[in-house]
Amino acid sequence: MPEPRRWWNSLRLRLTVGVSVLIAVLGLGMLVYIANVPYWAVTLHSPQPQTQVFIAPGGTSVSPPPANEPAAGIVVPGVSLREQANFWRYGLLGVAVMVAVGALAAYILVGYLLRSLESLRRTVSALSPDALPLRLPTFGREQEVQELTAAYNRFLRKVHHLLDAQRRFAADAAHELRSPLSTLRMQFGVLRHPESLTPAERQQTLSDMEAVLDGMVQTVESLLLLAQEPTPATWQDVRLADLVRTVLADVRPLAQSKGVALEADLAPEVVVRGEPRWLAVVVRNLLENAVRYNSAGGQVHVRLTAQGGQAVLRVSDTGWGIPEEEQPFIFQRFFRGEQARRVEGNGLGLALVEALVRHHGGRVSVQSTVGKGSVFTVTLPLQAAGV
Amino acid sequence: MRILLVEDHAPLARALQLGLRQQGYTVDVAATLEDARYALSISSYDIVVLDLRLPDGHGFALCRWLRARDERLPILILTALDRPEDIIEGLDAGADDYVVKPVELPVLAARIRALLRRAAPNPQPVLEWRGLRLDPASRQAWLNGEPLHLTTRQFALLEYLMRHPGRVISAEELLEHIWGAEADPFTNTIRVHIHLLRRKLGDDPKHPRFIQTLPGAGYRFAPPEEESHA
Repeated sequence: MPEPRRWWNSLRLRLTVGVSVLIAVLGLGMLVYIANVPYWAVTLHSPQPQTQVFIAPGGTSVSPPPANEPAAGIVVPGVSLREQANFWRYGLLGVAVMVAVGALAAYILVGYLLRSLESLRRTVSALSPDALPLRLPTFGREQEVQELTAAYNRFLRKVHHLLDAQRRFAADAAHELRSPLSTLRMQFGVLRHPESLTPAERQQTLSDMEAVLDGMVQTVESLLLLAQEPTPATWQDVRLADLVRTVLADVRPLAQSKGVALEADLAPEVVVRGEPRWLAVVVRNLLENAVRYNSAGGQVHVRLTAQGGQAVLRVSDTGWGIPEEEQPFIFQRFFRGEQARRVEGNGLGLALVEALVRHHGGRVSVQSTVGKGSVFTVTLPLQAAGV
Repeated sequence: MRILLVEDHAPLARALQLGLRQQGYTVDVAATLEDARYALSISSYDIVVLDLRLPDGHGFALCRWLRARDERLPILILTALDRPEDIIEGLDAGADDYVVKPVELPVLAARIRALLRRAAPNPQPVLEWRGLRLDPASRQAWLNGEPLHLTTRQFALLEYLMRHPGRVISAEELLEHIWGAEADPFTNTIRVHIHLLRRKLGDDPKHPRFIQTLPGAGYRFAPPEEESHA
């Protein structure tokens, strides 16, 4: 719980009080020291000083004590009790003046030193989420304030990153959902006049609507995944061979309907650290692409190995291949190649693969030749080989 | 009126086809440029609704090909490409209208009506002749102020005739533009529909007020005065 805002919690006031207390303590100590100086002087020098002249507080010159009196005891030699009382009175007054002047000086000085902090405070409290600056200006030369500003700037960068992701999600979602929504609305309008449709047309329209809805759901899910930040806290050890086998079982019906053969060669003991659901999305998107952009009689081969501290997943196909000029763009969101447009898709699959692999500290690359096929290689840091 | 819809996204193409059919149009769908060229070379259409990004090329190619071939056939580009350069290039390639997706069906239908109107000899939004009134936008017809109840086909037939007043239109042409690919050329569909339409219009084939039959040639709407009063 934060401290409630109280005037005595002010740094300026506290520093002023601190300085005042320090001056008071030092002043009083000085007084005590000075009050005892004659005594120490007498006892530290010859036991019977004859001609010593002491300057007592107040500037009074005193004569040395008679030689037959012993120069010992609490009473300061050569200073009368009245003179001592005067010494303390004026001494304390002097300390009080020092404290007052010191406190005022400290108050002004601290206020001067804290003004960069104050302008930083003002700037930060004037920040609005609609117009966040990329970074704050520099406030003063004080190292502490600059470090604080730098910390704010690091925070601002993170906020910007997050805001960008959110805005992109909103814009992408709106943009990508407009077309299917419009199609859906049209189909809905068609179904409002069922009497003008044959039963087959009604059925076809309904299954078309379902397909459009499925596509929208998939688009939203992909965009949500893309907008998410990595949360390694929930990661676990994932045995990739098992994960790939599960995904292969899911993709097999699609492959069979397209007449594409699926083959796998999986090293059993390859374990990476990550979110199994996300890694499954990576594998599924790569496999589905390899099947979809392929011709009947084609082949897809998945190979999982461990090499030099990396898990290497290679998905190679005998599909259409990707033209060289399109290769730099295939991992961008919503990019769809000339050929790829022949197949239904939202242009998010590979963007998702790239983002998820990157979140897991890995890399994805592609080699492709038109007419021969493509090889997608995903490398992920190995958690442990041979668990 | 017969529309060629060139659109490769199957669910959208089917929705547009059915939606436009409910508006009284006959719609053929081509999913590729090749299919579209083939359809255009074997049948005649009243308007082409053209997507730009197609599997086997760009819609502009079809635009230019059509303009090199036919001066008048209206082309409406319907695409998701919304950059100004695309719109300019599309219109300069010969398109008559450029509609950016997503589009509401009523809007698209209104634009199609506008283009068909402009292309027809009679460009009136509401067609009127001798007390017969036809409003294609609301799909209503009146005869001497009394509402006429016409079927979709009858309405389309009458609209086609009224758009081309005074011209002799063959039964084949009517069949092609109103029935499209569904037409069976070996039936007397047209004769039956013209007969039913005449009955609703109270038209006497011997002394036609609206639709004149020219044996062996076809039909003519708004026959010349001297013949109708003969």
